[in-house]
Amino acid sequence: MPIRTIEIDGSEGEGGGQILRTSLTLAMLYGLSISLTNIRRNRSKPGLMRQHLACVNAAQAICNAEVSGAELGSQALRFEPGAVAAGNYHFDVGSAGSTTLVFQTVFLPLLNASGASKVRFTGGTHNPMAPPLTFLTAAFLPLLKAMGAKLEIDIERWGYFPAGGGQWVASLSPGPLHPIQITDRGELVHSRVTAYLSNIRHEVAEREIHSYRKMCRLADTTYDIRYPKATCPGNLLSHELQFRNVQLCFAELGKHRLRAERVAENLAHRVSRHLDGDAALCEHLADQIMLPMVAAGGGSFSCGPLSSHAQTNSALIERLTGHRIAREMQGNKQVLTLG
Amino acid sequence: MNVPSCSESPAEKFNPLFLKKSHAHSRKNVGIAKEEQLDNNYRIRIIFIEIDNMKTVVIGLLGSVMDNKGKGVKRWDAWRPTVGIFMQEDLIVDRLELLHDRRDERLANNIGADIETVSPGSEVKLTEINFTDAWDFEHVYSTLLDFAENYPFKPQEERYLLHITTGSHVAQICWFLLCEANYIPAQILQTSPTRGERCAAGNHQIIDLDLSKYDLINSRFRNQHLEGTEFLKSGIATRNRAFNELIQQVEKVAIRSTAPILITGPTGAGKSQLAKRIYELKRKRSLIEGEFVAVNCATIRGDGAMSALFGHTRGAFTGAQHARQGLLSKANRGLLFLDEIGELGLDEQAMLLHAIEEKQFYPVGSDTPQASDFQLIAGTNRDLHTQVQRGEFREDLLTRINLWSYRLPGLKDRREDIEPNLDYELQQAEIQHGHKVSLNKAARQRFLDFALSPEATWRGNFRDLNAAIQRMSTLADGGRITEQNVNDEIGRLKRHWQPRSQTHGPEANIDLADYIPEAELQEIDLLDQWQLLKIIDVCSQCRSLSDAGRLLFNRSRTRKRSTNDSHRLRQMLAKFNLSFEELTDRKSV
Repeated sequence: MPIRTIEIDGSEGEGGGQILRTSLTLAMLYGLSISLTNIRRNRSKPGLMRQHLACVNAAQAICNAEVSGAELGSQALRFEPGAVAAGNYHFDVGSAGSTTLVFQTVFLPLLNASGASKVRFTGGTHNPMAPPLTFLTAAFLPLLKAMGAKLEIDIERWGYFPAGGGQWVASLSPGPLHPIQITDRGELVHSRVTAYLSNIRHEVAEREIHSYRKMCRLADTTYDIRYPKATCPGNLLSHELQFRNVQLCFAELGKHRLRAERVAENLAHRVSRHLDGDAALCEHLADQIMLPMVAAGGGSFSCGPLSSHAQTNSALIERLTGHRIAREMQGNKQVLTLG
Repeated sequence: MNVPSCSESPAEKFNPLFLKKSHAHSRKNVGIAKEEQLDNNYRIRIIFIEIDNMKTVVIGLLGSVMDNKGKGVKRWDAWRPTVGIFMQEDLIVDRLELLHDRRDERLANNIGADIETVSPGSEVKLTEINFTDAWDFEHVYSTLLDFAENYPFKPQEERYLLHITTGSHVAQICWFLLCEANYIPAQILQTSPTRGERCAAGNHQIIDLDLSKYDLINSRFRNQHLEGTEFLKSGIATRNRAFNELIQQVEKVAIRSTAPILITGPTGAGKSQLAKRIYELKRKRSLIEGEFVAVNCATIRGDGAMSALFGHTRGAFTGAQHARQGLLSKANRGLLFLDEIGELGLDEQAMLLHAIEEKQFYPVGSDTPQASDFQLIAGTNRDLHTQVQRGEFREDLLTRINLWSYRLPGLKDRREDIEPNLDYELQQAEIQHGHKVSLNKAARQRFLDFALSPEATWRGNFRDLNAAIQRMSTLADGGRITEQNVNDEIGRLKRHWQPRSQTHGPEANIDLADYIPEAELQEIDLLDQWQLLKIIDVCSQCRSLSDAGRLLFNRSRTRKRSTNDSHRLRQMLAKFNLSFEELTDRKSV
């Protein structure tokens, strides 16, 4: 049972929903009672929005927490977790944010629970302001598996913004995570570009691939077009890079009034920037792997400059867990080590 | 927390439809279910999270054009107002009451399904209405009024948002009117597309029609920042010299002294208004912290007066189950206004004097004194000196409260102030009604001519003037007071001011205005009016015209060769355009 309440200022650092989600996850992992204030204080619509309530409610559901302040627009939240209960859950978030963010809030506590869980998600899978589900399965999941996580994801239907309506299931079996060291990415094994199209003219995918091919400097790249099932129109261009020691996935969502060529250009820019450096993990993986590392009790990886998102995350983790995340520059990459 | 459970067959596991059904009880937008395997049967637990107790309900018309973007997936690329409501980051709607025409049933169902996708926690209720012509004002208004009158509004449990973006412009106008007239206890919800991009969600604004909630608008209505004497006069540019001098002195006393003030003057002369303004002036200057407590002593006479003023302890007398805080302690550090102080009993007077002098008093049944430091303003329309002579008022109390004594003149002694007060009352009526109230030139002249004439006694003083403007502004169509409205009002005032002795008989209950149009009534001589009153009184008690005739012509009929009382009475009534049947009909009504 929680013995003391930890006060967290939600407006620190990047000051957005990430502080809330990281706090919830850590509260459940460590059985900490937390009290957040100034949640999203400096945003144009401050306080908890629907998508944040979705995460709070999901967290509440898996650990039977005592919650107060879980209201629309609320800038203060108290969360006292109970024991995390494994089981079958269904989180239907509608179009209120992304299912991947809900997943990120609850998967670590569930991996730490006493039994297997099956979590069904309904809602958005590819939203502009959240990690796309494709990234989750192609990059994040392999990394977690490398740490020993028993976790599978089955996608039935995609849910693009704004309609949502995606369906997927995460199956989790409990087990300890072990620390990994990925400071070197190793040589490139495989490079695959995929244009995903749902309910949109075929031509869009062809134009994306055509212009990407011209910009891509990796000769041995395969190109592919896929048509995932979805309830509304949507498009994603992704580049999966399998290195000897790590799998990466860069993805760009197509959107209205954004030309196919521009989508390809944005993606090529991000991929080549990563290839120019020596870092193993991309910016997003670096941010998201910190919590699993805490659960594993250690590990280290190399990455490029930390985003403000990741810096906030790292500071919060250090404060709540007592772990220290050391940063050390090695040539043109930095190595993060959790002690 | 409420955790109901229900059995589910394995086949229905993960069926979102099931989840939706259960959402009828769910609190907010995010559906969360936990499934547990128990004895080979799946059980679903819906977990409730109490967010707030008020449910949010949107009421709106289906936009047969704006909500209709086809059935294809492209519909998600366009703004659809009704669906967009459910995609707002900062708005959670528990239920939608969607009104649609019979022809649009399919569209309504599709919209409902899309809403369930984007907002699984929201319930959609479809109501079919029949618009034969969505641009026919009368038809649309009555259809929507029917809906509003039959809808079981529960304002204690649910907060209503009336979505007016969809529907014809006529429907928008009707919604607005119904909402403003409080047939629909809702705030108005407006939705709009996002500027410059195609986005299904769009934006929303919630508009509260209670203008007092908007500071900017409010400040326009509020009087300019008034200083001192202007403030005491509520900004009314009074012309009466005596009154203006009086106010100047009151201002000085109000600011410099905390001693009791006595305001005398006829009823309706504005004693309590002045007391209130003195309090507000002191408050504005931070000279006083507590409340303004006003009480009319005539209303607290008898046994309860002591405890009303001074409070009582629990069990002080039979029935005193709880201790009561008296008005004096409520007025602590504030201002106590005792109107009609001459009505106060002698015991209460003694205790009041004690309280003023010692700043403490004893609640009924208490041995320990209670402290209260308040400023006293007393009002009376009686001559307290006469009351002292008769032994009805304590001389020492009068001396104490008589330090600053002001006599407010009645309205008939301040006729030059009628016009500025008329303007002030019109302005107040505007604020009260929420729309412009105007008096055209002819109507204004007519009213002032009467108001300044000796005919107008202004017996109830400012109270009568206030009531007159209230009545006229309420009866005026569109806030425009016409000469006719003024004439009608003059008739009412005259009747109101009639000496009471004229209407002492049984006919006192009869109002001629019920029988004869106001304009005609004014042309009838007073003598004829009295005669008519008696005729109506007698007729209403008789079964037939001839019965009434016999009674009314009881003397002259004996001197006539042939008596035809009914004919004489009928002719008499005809002079006033009345008939016997009409009079008796009214009686039965």
